[in-house]
Amino acid sequence: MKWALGLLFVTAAALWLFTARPEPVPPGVTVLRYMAWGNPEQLAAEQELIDEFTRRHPAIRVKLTLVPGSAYYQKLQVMLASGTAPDVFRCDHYQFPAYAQRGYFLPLDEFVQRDPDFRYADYFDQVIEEGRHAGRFYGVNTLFGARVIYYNKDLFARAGLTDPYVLYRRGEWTVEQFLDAAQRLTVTGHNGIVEQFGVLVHPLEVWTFAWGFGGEILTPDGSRCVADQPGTVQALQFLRDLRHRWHVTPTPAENALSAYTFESGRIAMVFDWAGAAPRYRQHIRNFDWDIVSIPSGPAGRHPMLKGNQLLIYRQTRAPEAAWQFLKFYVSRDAEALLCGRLRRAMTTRRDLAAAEEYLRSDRPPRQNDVWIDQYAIGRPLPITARWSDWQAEWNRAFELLMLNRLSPEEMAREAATRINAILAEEPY
Amino acid sequence: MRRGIERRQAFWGFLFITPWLAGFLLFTLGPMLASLALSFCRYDMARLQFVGAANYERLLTRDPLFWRALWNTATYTLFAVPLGLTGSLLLALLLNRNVRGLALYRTLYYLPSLIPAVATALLWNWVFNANFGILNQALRAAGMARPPEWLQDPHWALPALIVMSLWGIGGGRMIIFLAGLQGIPQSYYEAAAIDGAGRWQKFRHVTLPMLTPIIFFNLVMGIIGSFQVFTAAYIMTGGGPANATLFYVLYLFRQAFEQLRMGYASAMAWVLFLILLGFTAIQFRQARRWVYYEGEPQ
Amino acid sequence: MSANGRHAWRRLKALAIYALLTGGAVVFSIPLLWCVSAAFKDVQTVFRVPVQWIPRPAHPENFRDAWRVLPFARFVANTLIVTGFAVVGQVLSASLVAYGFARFRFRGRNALFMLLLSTMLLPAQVTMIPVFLIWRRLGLVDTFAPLVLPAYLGGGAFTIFLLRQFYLTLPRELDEAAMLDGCSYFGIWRHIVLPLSRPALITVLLFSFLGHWDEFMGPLIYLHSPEKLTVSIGLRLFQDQYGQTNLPLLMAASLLHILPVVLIFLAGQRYFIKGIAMTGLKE
Repeated sequence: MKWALGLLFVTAAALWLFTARPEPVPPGVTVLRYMAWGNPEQLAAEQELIDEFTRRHPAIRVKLTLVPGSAYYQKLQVMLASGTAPDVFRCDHYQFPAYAQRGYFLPLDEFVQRDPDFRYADYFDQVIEEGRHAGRFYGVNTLFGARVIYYNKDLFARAGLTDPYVLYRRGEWTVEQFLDAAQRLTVTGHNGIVEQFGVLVHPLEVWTFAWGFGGEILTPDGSRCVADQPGTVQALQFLRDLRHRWHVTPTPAENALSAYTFESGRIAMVFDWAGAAPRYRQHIRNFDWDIVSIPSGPAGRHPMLKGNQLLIYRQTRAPEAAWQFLKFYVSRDAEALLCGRLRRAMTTRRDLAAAEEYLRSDRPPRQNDVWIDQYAIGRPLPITARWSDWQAEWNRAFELLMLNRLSPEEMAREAATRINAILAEEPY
Repeated sequence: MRRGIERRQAFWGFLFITPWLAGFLLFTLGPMLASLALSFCRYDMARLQFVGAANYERLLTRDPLFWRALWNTATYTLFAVPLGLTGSLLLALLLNRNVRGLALYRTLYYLPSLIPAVATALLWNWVFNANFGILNQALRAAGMARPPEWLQDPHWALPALIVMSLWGIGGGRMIIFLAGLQGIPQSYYEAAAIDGAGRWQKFRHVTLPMLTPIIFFNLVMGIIGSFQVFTAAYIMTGGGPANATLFYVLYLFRQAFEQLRMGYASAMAWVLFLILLGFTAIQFRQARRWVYYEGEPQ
Repeated sequence: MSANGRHAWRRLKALAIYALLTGGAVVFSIPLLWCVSAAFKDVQTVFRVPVQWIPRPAHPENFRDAWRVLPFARFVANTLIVTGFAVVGQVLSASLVAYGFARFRFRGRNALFMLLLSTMLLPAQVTMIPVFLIWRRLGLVDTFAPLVLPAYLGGGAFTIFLLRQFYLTLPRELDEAAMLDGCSYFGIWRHIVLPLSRPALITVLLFSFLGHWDEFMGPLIYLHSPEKLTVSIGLRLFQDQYGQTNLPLLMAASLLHILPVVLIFLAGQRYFIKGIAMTGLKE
């Protein structure tokens, strides 16, 4: 008897716990589902924005779905393929063309036309361009940024070197100066172990230096690989030499996942996106640091510019509410929080970029005028719907180059041939 | 009379397996057939188009990475499974004795398999570090002048992952062996002792035969699991360097979720299915020769 | 060999075994010790070489921070609910199904068993979306049902196969004797098969607990509401989009996370003692 009662209780509990009980929604209130990735601090910032939005639009309730960054696209794809995607979600520009091509997003042109509060002219051109696909506008830009150099001011001062920002303002921050600094900032201890390295580079830097030396990796429309040209080969050589000739950057063996990090004070200069600033702010305690633009090469200074798109799901049931949220997310107040106070990204708005509150900061990075320069000189990556098709091939060849198993010329030639073969195939 | 018993057996047999059968029909059969159908289509998560055997044709004739992934996975299995199996068995035998602090020992050997994958990946990246890692430090102390660069060397990355898999010999597999050892009735050992059997004979004629069903289980599951190895490569090496650790399921995952080629990935899945089905069928056939079931139904 | 000689030989063997066990345990413990030590460090010093085993200064507040920075109490509660219900279901249903496959003869049994095994041969990535569509049709997305219900339907081929192997080692004479006494098939399962396979059941319990406690993909794609998330998702949130991990916090959270599993493991140990081989050291 007790047995049966217990079973009944458990079944009731199970039914209560496991069945879907949609939350009761008060009449007149629209529920908006919003999905973003982030670590706990970033998600707290999202919630702050959401709270402010709810204050201004009490009839819209935003439900945030937190997703770990490393699994974001898996979840998103299952949702997109099953027709259950959230009303508003964020998408990295790497994935944007491929997803836009599949018709996942709601075009925003009409909203923009009807809404006097949103003007394209308020935003920088590249910001708006990124959100376009096949002639239509789909996404406002968020977490936008350039790739710059974060540097350790104390290490520079201690080595008696001129601050790179000063050189930059004087027009003297060149690749040669950069290399010289990197060399003088690489210090080896008595036991042969390197105490600090001059610079930390990422495979993405190949674009920075290729453009700086006058080369290209893909044609601007992303349709062909043109890496086997002198400027690119020069850049590949430079990157390889950083590691194998001048030893100013650690090999992967030496750096097994962060034995040397910028935060630990063992790296003098690191290339990173604008979005890295909050992390550095949080973890760097005992040295002064700031940002400077990438060094200029013989063909000029061309930093990478890239953002992420905030999009409305094509099958949303609350398009108006979603549009209000999008508009708010790139409004001046929201960006003042995200980009000004939290330094999570470069602002996408012209008015904020010129404002004192954005340029001034009592904590690093303080040289925020550097961000402003990036809009004029920055270049977008040629990301198309076929971006992921050729990445694996390029990364493999680049790995072999950096392991010194291929010469720069060989690598460029091999990569170009293979990648062009891939791009020439009909897209899947 | 015979027929009645048979019918009773059949009825009750089916009844007992109903939970699984129901679940299979509800949640498994449909998706499996769906993925089979997808393997004959081009599906990029938006448009669906029937293409016949094109995916399979491309996979088997025009995709060098398919063969690379298969080779990497087969090599990994070839080493990791026997080594892991033997290691777990030996460990289980050692930990089935009346030593002091047995619970502590068992826990210490079991704990490494509990650490979450992300933490494990960082940990092992550090262990395998060519300069600072304790592995190479130990090798250098033992006299090796230039120990391998492990995860950065295309020739040593796969062996590194095999070594890393050995950390799991104290894990679930060993627990299963322990359970198997525990299940051998003491009376068998006593009877053997009365017959004058020594330690080694007891092992050979009591322990080992009684353990064969469990060894068989670990062998079959070992091969199935090892062919589907994914996490370590995904988190630690990304399939590199230069595709040295590109495992089959990692390549499949990339095709499905990074390249959005679901049809192609489905074809890959079914090729793997056939390979594993072949292996498993062979093992079951062979099992009749060496696996001893005390309670085999007649 | 003289009695003394035999005694000395046995002591030497005992010593060798202890040495082997201890040596191995030390080697196996080194990564774990590093994890524990890392949990007390801060981001800047965690990877410093040579390794500082005892962190100075130590940061025990990592444990408190890891717990607080995300609503871990909620996550743990959710995970406990899911795991608790799932484990019960899996142990019960897997043993019933395994009993059916092990002890009964019926037409198509072997074919069905191969079918069972074949469900393990297809990588889950390609069935993920169709399965999701089924749950969506049932209206059970964003509930715990997709995570718990399958456990009651056999709980997966792994545990069924495992228990089937164990049941096949039990002699049939016991069954036959019980049937002569008028026991039903269900009674045999309950009174003979289950008690005799206790170590196997404990093993299944442990596997089931660990599997559901750690499960990531299921909660990732089926749970949307933040208040329903599980610990494994929470742990992954410590890694931001750049793949940079706050290692000390992650380690602290992970150590807290594996604590229940360790406790269950230790608690289950007493069922793994009775059958200790009599060829032990203390004869």
